[in-house]
Amino acid sequence: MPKVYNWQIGREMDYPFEGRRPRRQAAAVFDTNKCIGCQTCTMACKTTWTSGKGQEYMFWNNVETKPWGSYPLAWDVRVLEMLGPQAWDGGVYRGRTLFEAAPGGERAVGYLPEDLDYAYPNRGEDETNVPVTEERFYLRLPHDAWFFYLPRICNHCTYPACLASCPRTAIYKRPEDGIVLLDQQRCRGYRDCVKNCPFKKVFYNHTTRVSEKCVLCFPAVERGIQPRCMRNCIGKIRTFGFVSTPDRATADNPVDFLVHVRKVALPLLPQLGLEANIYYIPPVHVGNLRFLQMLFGPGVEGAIAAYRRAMEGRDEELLGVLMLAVSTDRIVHRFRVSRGHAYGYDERGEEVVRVPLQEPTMVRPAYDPQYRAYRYNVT
Amino acid sequence: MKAQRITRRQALAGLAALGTAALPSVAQAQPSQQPDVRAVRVPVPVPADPEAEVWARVPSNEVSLMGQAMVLPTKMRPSIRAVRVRACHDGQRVAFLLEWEDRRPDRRTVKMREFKDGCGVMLLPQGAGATEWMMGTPKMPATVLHWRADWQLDLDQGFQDVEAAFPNLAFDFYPPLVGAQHPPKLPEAYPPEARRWLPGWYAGNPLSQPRKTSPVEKLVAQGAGTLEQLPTQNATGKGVWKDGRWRVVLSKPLRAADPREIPLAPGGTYAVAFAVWQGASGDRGARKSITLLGRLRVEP
Ligand code: SF4
Ligand code: SF4
Repeated sequence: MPKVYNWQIGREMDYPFEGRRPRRQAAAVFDTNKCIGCQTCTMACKTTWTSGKGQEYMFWNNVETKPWGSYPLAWDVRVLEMLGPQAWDGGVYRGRTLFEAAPGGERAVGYLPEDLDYAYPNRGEDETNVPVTEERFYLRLPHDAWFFYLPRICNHCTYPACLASCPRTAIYKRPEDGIVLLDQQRCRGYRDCVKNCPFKKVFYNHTTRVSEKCVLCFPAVERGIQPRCMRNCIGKIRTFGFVSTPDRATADNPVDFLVHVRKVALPLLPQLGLEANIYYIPPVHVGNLRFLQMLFGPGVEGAIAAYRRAMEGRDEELLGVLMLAVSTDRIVHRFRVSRGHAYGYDERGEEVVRVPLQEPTMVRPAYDPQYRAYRYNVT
Repeated sequence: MKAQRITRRQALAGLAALGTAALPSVAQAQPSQQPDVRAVRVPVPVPADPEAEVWARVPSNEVSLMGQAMVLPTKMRPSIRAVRVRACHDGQRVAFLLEWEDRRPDRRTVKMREFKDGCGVMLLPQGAGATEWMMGTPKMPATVLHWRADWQLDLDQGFQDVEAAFPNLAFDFYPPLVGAQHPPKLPEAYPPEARRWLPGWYAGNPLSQPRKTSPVEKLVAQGAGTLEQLPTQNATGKGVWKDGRWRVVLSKPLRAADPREIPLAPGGTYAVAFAVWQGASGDRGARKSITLLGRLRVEP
């Protein structure tokens, strides 16, 4: 099997195809600390792409509550269980990836969910890690009782398991932006991609009897516009752009800055070996570091420290990039923070957005003599 | 990107390991290892029905099926042990009758884990060898007839949609079908502009067409993973499951209608192989039970 380099696990690994990176790789950073679980992203996607017959339980974007939520049912637990306990050695993964652990005659480790696994898209919503039966110490960080929202879309992986598993090569990765697409004309409904995508982000359409997946709103991306789930994010948690490999990272590219410079954003389940391209800022309040490390790899402690520095007002640049998230429909290729403002620029270098790091505030007197009324909200 | 391919040498080694016995004679108690099929000339149009009288007068030949160990994903052990093969022609069309035991028919492909039963006939020019056996090559394309139990069901009982598998389905409305009868029926309820909500159909994928004209596809393959429908869909057939047994007719005109299709003629000799899929075992694509590549003689 050919060898490819996966920087997220710090080593070469087996992959059924020779490695060829796209000219640039579409990517995003999701700040889990800001997600409010409103599912606006889910609905933005659902109404755009998957409201047809046969797609009833198909969610290219879903938001699940960790630790108990999952869609389809137990996708993460099942795939981790199949892989078995594996080890990291610092930043280098010493365990086996899904490709390296593939059983004989298969391309990767995987399982095909049942229809019932899709029947409860928001199972475990808002459930805490432990039952809250008594008052716990929620006023300190991290929390004893916690949960957090994990919004998920297809990761447009550098080494997609869906693509590797399709016997017909009906799935391809676009050289111009790394978006992974499933050819609706060539698919013959074998469902090997559904089986082997560990994130379960390929779905079977019951009516057309072929598989479908997230297209990352490529018609918008081609015009410099962000995908729908990103543009509509109420919590403004999503930074969309293009990620480089660590050796080519540029500090003024927002995604590169978050992933490579501040190392505050981490891939989801890097140990699977797919080099997933949706990155997550881990939740700072979760009182179980090992759980976070299982999900996001060995960089969790560093990421949390970097994030908290910014929240304490000690990293204006990081604060600035995060303020730019979902502040414009345009894709921000470059950013700059200066004199209390963050600036975003499009591909041609034109300014597309400017955000103050601090919202101007005004304090009104509590008592309004004109209306002879007391104000509850004075700012 | 370059796919990892199984080399010709590996394929030959595999074939040798599986044993290539000398061609056995027709109709015997033990299934033969390699197909040797005689398409006899019949004085009537070739039957489209597996239960047609004329089949009783056509010699049959039972052929062993084995797993598919050459191309990923593999299937090491066959789901079905053997397939009984008959063939005839009327000077215009050739028809094959394939029969095999299967306790339970798997006909639907609506649910995530539903896979269909099916069978296939692969035709190649004489001289095709181990490499061509794996779905042809660019130089020697294989013509494939593929009967599908799910299409047969669509033809017999109407298009099997979501509500066939999920009878309690509830859904408010499917855009853009506001006000449509519920649940909206394919294809009637879907004017062309509404089909973009059914991407496979909209993109012209043959698997996604709700209206079927035949349960048999005519395909061409130039190597594993390259299977595609030929432009002229003139293969016909029918599959009937009764008493634990599938009996399936697959038929096509002798003459080739499309550039890469194999032309057959009375008196000619060709290479042929058969395949059977058992849905309950998760068979699909390369996960199939197959015969070795053997001989097809079309009687003068
Ligand atoms: S997340 Fe799954 S569907 Fe998306 S590219 Fe990766 S393997 Fe393919
Ligand atoms: S729209 Fe944004 S805040 Fe709301 S659930 Fe989705 S990712 Fe979270």
